[in-house]
Amino acid sequence: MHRANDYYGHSAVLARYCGVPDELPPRIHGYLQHGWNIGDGMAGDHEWVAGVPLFLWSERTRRRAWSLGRRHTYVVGAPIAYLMLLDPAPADAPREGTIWYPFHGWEGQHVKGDHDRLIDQIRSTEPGPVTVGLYWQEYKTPSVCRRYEDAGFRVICHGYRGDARQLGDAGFLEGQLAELRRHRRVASNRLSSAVWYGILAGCEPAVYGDPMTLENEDPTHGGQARIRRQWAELHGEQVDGAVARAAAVEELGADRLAPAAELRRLFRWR
Amino acid sequence: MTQRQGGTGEVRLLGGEMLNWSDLDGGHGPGPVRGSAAGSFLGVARGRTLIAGPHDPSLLDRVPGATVLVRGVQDAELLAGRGDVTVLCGSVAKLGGEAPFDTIIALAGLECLGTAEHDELTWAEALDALHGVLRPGGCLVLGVENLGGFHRQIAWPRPLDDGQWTPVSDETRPAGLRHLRAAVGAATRAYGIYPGLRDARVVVDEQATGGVVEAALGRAYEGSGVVLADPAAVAVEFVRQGLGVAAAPAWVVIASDDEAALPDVPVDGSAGPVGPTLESLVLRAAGRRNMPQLRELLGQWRNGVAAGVPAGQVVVAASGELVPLVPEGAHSVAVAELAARLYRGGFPHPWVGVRSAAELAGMLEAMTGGPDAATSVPGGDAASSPLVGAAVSVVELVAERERLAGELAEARAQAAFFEEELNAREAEVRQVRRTVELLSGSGPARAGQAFVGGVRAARRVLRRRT
Repeated sequence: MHRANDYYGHSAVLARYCGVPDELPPRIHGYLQHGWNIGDGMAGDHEWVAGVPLFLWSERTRRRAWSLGRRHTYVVGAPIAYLMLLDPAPADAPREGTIWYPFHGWEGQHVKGDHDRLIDQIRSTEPGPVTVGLYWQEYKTPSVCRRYEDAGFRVICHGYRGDARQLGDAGFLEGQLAELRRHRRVASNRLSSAVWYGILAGCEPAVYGDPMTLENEDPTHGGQARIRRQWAELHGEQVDGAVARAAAVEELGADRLAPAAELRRLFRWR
Repeated sequence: MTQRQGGTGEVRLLGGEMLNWSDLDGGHGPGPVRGSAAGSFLGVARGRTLIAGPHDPSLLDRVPGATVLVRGVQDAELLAGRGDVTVLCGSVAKLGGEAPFDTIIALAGLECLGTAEHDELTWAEALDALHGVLRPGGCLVLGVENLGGFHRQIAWPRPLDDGQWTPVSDETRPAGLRHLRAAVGAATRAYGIYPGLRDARVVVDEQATGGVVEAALGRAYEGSGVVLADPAAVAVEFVRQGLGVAAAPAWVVIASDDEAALPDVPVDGSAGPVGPTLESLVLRAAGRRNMPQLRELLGQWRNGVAAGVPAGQVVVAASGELVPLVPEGAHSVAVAELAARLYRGGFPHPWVGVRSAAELAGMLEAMTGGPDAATSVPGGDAASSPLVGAAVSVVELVAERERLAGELAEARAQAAFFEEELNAREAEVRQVRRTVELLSGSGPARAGQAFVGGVRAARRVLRRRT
C-alpha cells in the first residue's frame, strides 16, 4: 500500500519469510511499521487512510495506537525478528568492539549538537574498536565522515533505505544484522530501532551521550524525555542484559511473530 | 363423576374438562413438557404419583402406574390408550376427592391446570389444590416460568395462544425465586431450566459453571430462531456470572415439608471434564489480542483428538488436554463455525482487513500454519457451513449494519486516496514521457524509433490477417 513498507528492505524480508519471491517486493495491503517509535507506530510521512490496516511491531504500540483512535491494527512483530529466524547467527562467530549509531535526522531534518564532545565520550567509554553507523545523508557528507574517521573509528553505512519513488538498497537489513552480529556492544545517544535490533541480535546495549536536538521535533508523544522515563533501565553506559533483552523482545514483538500463512493472508499475498 | 372409555384404559372426567382441546398436540399453545432434562425430574417419583398437566407421553413411561391429570378430553383419551396410567380429566380444582399422593409432578406449570370451563383459579388456588392432595412428607415437583428470565428480554412480541384466555398472571403468583420457594414448601430445591419447560434440555443449579455447562447450553440453543440477541451467548454469560438459576427461562422447584424427603436431581456440569470450552478460551485470547496463545490453541485443536469437534463442544481440562464432548466432523466446518462465532454479533475480533466469516475461517487455519492454508481459496472450504454469515439475532443485524456502514466509509476514503495516488503517478508518467521525447531527438534514438515503427507496422499486418 505505502512505499514506506519497502524501506530498509522490510517487505522483501517478509516476502522471503512468506515464500513469495519476486523481483519487486510485493505490495502489502496495509501500512507496515518501519521504525520503532512512541506514537501509533506510523512515521510522519505516512498518509493514514481509514480502514487500511496498520501492521505494528508490539502489543504496547497496538494499545497506544488504539488509544489514539487507530482501530485496524495487528501486531506482526518487526521484520528484523523474521530476518533473524531466516538467517540464524553462526554458532561461534566472534564478536568484537562496539557499533555506535549517532542519532540522525531523516530527510529534511537537521540535528543540532556537539559531535566532538560525543566522540570524546565514545572514545572514553567504549573498551574496544568502534564502528560508527551513519545514516546515508551523513555518510554522504565528507565532513561528518571525516570527523568520525579522524577519531579512529571505522565508519559504515547500511545503505539507502528507499523512498516513495525509488527502492532502497537491497539487503539493507541483512547488512545491518551482519554488522550487529560482529560487535559485542551496540550503542547510541538515543534509544532507537538500531539499539533494539542490536539487543535482539545479542549485543550488550548502551545509551549515553548528548541525545542532541532535532529541528522541528514532534513533541506530541513526549519525545526524548518520555523515552528516558519509560525505558530508564536501558539508559547508561552499562545496562542489565536480561532486562534489555526482555524489553527488546517486547518492543520488536519477537515473541509474537506470525506464521507465514497468516502473514500471507494479512498482507493479501496469496 | 363420569367415566369415559379410552383406547385400553379408563378416563375419569372430574368436571371442567375441555372437550375440543388438546395440550399435547401443540395446536393451541406451546405443547407439552418435553426434553432430555425433563426425564430427570420424572425420575424422582416415589410412591403414589400424580403427573398434572401436559407432559409428553413418552415421559410417562418413566413412572409406571402413575395418575395423570389433563384438561383436554382428547389428551385424556390418548393417554388412556397407552395403558398403565390412571387418567383424570378436568380442572385441578376438582382434585379434592382423590386419595393423597406421595409425589406430584407438574412441570408444565400451574397455568395449564385450570380450564376454560371452570371459574378462573388464581395461581395460589391452583397450588392449594395440589397441596390438598399431597401426603404429608410428600414431594411436589413444580415447573414455573421465570417472568424475569433472560428469554423474555430477547424475545420477539408474540400473539397470544388459545390457552392464554386470561393473558396476565394474577397477584398471587410469587415474584421471584425467593417468594416462589417460600410459597411451595418448607424445604425446597430450585433448578434453572434451559431453554424452557417445553424444551427442557439443560438443568443447572446455583453452582453451575464451566465448559460442560456452556457446551450443553450451546447444544440446547442450536437452531433456535431469530431473536433479539443470541440466546446461547446470553445464557452462557449469565451462567458464567453465577446467575444460571436466577436468570433461567424457567425453574423447577422441588418442595416438601420434610428436608430429608427432597431428592437429588442430576444437573449439567456436575460430571465430566472440568474446565472452560475451547471456544471461550479462543474468544478470550482473541479479545485480549493474545495472538501467540490463540495460535497455540488453534494448533492444539487442529492437531489433536478434538480436531473436527466444534470448539464450543471441546473442554480444555486443567492439564491442558482437549476433551471432545461430541463426535467429530470435518475440521474445516468446525473452523468455519468458530469463525462465524468470532465474526458475528459485533464481537471485537482482532483480524484487520478480514471482510467475511469465510475469510476469517481461512485466517484461523493460516494461524496454525496449516499445510493447506497457503493454497486454499479464502473461504472456499468454509462456504458450505450453514452458519457462515448468518446473523441469528437483531443485535447482530444492527452490529452488521454498523460494520457495513463503517466499511463503506472506509472504502470511500480509500477510493479517494487511490485517486490522489493515481493523479500523482499520471503526472510522473507525463513528465517521464516528455523527458523521453526530448531524448529521442538524438541519432540512436531515431534508429530505435524506426525499429519500433517497423514492429508496429508488422503487428498491424498480422492483426488484419486474424
